[in-house]
Amino acid sequence: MTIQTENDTLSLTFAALADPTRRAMLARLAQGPATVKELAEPFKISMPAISKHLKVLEHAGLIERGREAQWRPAQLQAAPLKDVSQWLESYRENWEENFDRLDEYLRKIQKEKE
Amino acid sequence: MMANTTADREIVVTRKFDAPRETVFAAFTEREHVEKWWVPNSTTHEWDAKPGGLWRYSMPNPDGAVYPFKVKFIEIAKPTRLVYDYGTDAENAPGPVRTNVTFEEEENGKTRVTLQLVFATVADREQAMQYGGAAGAQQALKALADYLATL
Repeated sequence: MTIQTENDTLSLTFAALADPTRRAMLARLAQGPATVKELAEPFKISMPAISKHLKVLEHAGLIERGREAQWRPAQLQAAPLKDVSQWLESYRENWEENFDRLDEYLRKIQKEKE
Repeated sequence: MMANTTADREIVVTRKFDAPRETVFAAFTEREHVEKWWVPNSTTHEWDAKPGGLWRYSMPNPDGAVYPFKVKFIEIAKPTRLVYDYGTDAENAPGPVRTNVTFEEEENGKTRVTLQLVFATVADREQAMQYGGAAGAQQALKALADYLATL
């Protein structure tokens, strides 16, 4: 099992996803753009706290914010999530490689037995 | 939310090998075989292949740092099934990845190996980014799985 060194973008994505409130916000945004007020609705936390979460998501490139000063609707950006799913896929590739080595090894010991 | 299935947070890899099942099972569970193919360039520090026993090893990364890993054997049902938890050996390390390996006999003495990696659902966010490299990512992977389950 080899490990893959993730780049900074992935680290940011992972850090952003590590919080349940932010994941819930992303889940909401997966249904379409929303204003800060709409995003804050389901949570019993302050607006500044919501803003902070939004900043983390924005910094990670997971959302994009509109320019209308007061509402600044947020929109989900899919690219970083695709990177993460590619990283997930690396686990599979890793085992495909392990299986290649196992295949080669089994051939060798089978041959020695004959 | 998917409550009764792990389909949303698992990876399945399968391969058919041209060797009898007993041999393939041994390749996964006996140290002298395991060290020949499983983790290249690794150093084994502890090996105890029985339920609850540990295989501790470390391996260097391309950046030169050495990372410790830990395999905890959960079930060794010769020659059909192997279950282990794969994680790290560091303090504050995130939770392990449960791995289920099944060995099925196929025609002409061949064996199908199916490996299922199951990532836990609940992210321990306090620990999430404390352990670097793959382990931190692994923890975050749980968070991702958790998130994807909500979509």
